[in-house]
Amino acid sequence: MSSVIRVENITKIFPNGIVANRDITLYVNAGEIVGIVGPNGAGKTTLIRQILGLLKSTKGKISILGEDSANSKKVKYIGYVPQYPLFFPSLTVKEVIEFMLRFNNMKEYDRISETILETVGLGDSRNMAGYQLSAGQRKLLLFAMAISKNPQILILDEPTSMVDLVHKKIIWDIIENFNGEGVLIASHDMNEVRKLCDRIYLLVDGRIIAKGTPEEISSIIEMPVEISFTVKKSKSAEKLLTEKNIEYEKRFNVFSISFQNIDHCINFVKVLNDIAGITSLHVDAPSFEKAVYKLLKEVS
Amino acid sequence: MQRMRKILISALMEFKNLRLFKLQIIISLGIIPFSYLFVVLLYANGSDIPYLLSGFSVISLFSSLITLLSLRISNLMEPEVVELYSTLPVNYSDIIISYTLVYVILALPQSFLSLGLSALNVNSVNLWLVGTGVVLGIILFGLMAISLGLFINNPYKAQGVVPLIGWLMLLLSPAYYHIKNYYMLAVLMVNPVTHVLNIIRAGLGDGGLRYVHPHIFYLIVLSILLSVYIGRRFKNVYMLEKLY
Repeated sequence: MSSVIRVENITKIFPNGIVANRDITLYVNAGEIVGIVGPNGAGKTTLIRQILGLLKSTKGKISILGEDSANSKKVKYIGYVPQYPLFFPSLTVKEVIEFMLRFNNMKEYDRISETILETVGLGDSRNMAGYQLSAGQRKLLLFAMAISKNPQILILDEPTSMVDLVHKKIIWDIIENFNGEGVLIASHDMNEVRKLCDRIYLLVDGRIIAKGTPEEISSIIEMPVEISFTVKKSKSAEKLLTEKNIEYEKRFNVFSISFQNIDHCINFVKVLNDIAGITSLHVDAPSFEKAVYKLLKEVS
Repeated sequence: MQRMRKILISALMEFKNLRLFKLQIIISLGIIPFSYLFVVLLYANGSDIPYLLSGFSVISLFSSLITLLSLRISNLMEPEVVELYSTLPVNYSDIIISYTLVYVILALPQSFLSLGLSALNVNSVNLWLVGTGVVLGIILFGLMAISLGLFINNPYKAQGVVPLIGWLMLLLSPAYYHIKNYYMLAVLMVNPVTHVLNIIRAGLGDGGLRYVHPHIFYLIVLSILLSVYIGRRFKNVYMLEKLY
């Protein structure tokens, strides 16, 4: 499978000696959505700036669409959403998109800009100047700018930070239906990453500490599974728990138990249902968010 | 052709960007310079008027470009602005060319108006010389403004340093005074504004200035040197790298 973005062993050390990242290798294959997750200062934005050619790597190689990014003109095929809600203070929302389209020699820029603004949910703000927009609207506009380039690759640095839930959903739908070559997302939003990404890289202190699908990341660390339930026969449930020597908590008629792993939990639930008849069950399975949190905590 | 189109669109974008600063531009490019000119001309002798007007023409062109363009260029070098502009499908050198175009267009009316008034007050005008002086002035002052903006790299510092440089250049040029002292004349000759003034004044029939070639040569050499400096700054494609 060909990689649309390939980062090989790159390191970035700033002139003041700060090491932003070290020996990072990652790739985005054709058609993939890849996420970079990590705490603040992990080096996500620096890595993105290196890929975009805004910063020079101290060591290593980056290629975009098969060409070395140092000499490549392929960067122009990237639609980029920066982390910060940057904006043109004097230009209206519609003017910004029109200029983007005019730069790309689109003849029907008036009509196309309207379509783009309606798609991202900025139709009602089309005549607002940049300085009048909220931070969330500015991020939406940056996203609209990125897609108006009709890019082959999307690189999104926290694309939905500051964006409300409704517009977040719109952006996620656009990313999921993006028909370009690939998408790279840096995000703090675990929900977003889990929902969108085919693969994820966990970045801490400029190093990749884990990689894989969201499910693989979740299973790297054995996480407790917490369940709470109510049953028809409360006495039978209590008897079963005592026999199996399982610690539990009971509030009113709701039992709460913690298991070492999901297999133990499933086995117990089957037996419990046969003996006591489960009337309600809530399972807090090893969540991706908790796994990432635990991994980050262990590393730091 | 494609590049030219992008430069023109970028220039149009900058004109729209400037809408917020409309009043500031009208005051700094129109009201303040012309009220200054009015005061200067109020007590001028008849024979001094073309001299003062030509001085005003060159100084206003210089000040406008140095003040506005170098501030804009240093603003363009701020990390967040670099990042914002990196989202546009146009490269940085084209953006800078287009912005130079915009600020030249803004600076020219007051300069042309005073030059026209000056021409009306002299017996003969050598259009070739005046044109050469204006064109060389635009190119050199534009390059100076870009170099200064790139060199300072910080709009907050630029706001303090640039007006001071503008004032020094005005002080060290015979824009509004005559000078006979050779030592002082040698000092003024370092200033490119003096050379632009001399070429334009030669074109406006200043009998004392017959030999313009050394002035033209000086301005061309300076322009080449500044172009090399700017080119070297832009040779490195890693835009944010320059800021660390």
